[in-house]
Amino acid sequence: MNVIACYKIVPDEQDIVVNGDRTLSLDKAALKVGQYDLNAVEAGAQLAEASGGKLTVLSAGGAEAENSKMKKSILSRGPQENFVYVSPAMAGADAGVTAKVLCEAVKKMEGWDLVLCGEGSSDLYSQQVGIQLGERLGLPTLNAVSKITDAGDGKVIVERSLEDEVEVIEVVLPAVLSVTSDINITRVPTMKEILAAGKKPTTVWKEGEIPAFAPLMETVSVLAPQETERKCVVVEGDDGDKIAQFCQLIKAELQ
Amino acid sequence: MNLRKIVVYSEDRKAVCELASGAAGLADQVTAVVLGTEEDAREAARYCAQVVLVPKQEGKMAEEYVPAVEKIIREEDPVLVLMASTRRGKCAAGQLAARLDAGIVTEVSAVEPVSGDEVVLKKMVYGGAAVASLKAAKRPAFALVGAGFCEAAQLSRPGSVRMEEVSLGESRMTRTGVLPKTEERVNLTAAKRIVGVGRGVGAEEKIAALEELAEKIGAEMACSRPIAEGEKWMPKNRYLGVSGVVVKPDVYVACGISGQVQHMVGVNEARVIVAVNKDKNAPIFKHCDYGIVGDLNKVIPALTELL
Repeated sequence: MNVIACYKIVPDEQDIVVNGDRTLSLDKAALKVGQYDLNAVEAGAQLAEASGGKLTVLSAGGAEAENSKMKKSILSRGPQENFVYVSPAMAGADAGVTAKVLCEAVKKMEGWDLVLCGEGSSDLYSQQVGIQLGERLGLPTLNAVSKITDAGDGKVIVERSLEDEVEVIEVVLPAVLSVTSDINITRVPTMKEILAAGKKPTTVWKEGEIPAFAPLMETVSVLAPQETERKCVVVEGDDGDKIAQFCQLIKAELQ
Repeated sequence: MNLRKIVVYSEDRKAVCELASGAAGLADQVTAVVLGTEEDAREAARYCAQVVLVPKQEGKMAEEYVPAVEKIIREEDPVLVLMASTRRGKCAAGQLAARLDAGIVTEVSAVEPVSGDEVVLKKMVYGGAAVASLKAAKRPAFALVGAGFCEAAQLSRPGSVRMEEVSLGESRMTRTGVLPKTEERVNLTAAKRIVGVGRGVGAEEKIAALEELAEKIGAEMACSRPIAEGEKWMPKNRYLGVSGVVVKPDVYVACGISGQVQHMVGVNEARVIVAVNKDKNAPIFKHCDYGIVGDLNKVIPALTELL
């Protein structure tokens, strides 16, 4: 089975600085491969390895998508080949635009049976790209997939973890599936795999090689949340008197 | 300012009623699309002035009805389509949005009409570090809201129901079985009191003492993300914060929770936050109403006894 796994390069949210006016500063944030995308890459690697197939990875983004450290990071986790669409218009693109662009990209790629996406991107977490990509390609598509078994004969059996039950569904390939973060435990690349990753091929598509799409959602603002004012009455120490004092404070609120 | 029209859709009867009630406060006209039985549609009509029933056939998946719902949305031409932010909801909404070439925002925390035809949707981004306000570039836009967005409120007289004729196409997916979910279902959004477990509890067996406290004060148990995803001491559907559950309890008791932003955004709307932590410098003490710097092993049993 030949698999395409999609991924997104995102700023590490731990490095995001909140400015005095509640705007965010992303300049100092290190880049990383979206954490949920790693599960899609791992699932793809396992399916491809088990069937003697090929795993290809695909991303679309601004300049960060071309970052050489990120290329190595993704290619050290099992894929044979990497495809990237780089355009300034893709920085901050909404889920709908990303799905349209990936749809065009996937149509350029040949010989695949299954496209995998993660649960959602680590930054915007719309959980939409996989589903919309599948729908735009006119293929069977599901989210919340927690297990994929190759049933042969151009089919997979998937388990889909919904809020109150797990569905077992037979899906005819080709298909687009979005996997959960607990479908697998992602591999930690070895030094050898990291070194080998540098020699694996990456194809870069530039602006114009894929059509540009107008945004469907316009960002009005991105601001740190307004925090609720809190009383911050703190009792220091845990001897009997202190606990009793603390208890009185809470009791009043529990009435 | 009200929107001109909202369409609500869910395959879940209870969700349709809640969404319709929420939409009634935001729009002049509301149409509820119900995927289910005539009885489901009649129930929805107690909460919504106009109901369109898409009759669901035995053995068919909700996803197969997407083209039928798309047709209804095109006819209704709403400003906003309001759906539930469940996994099924996200799947159906994504398919519909792609077919209608519409913008979509999931896990919406606020729906703010700007004019009859324009709406701003808010959601958390960057792991809770920020709230994005987004405006649709064209009509309709999709907004997916969590449970607890609105309580269902009955109308003084029931609305009208019309049935949509549906012919299903061939599907390349077949539901062959259902397995029970191993984790139990919990509705934290409805909980009035919540006890939260953080890494500071130190060991899985220490959670029992917190459960006793929760039982004493009539609280649900919840946790931080590391407890559910890293340590796996508690099920994933109990973690609060970004990509987890956002709650508005009357009282939240944070036990051994450090107070990182990713967690705190999930409890920001609690009326009162109580914190127990042995680390005096834990950020939680800057985000609580009442805190005690002390050993959980001493404080929790004492509280359980005294409260």
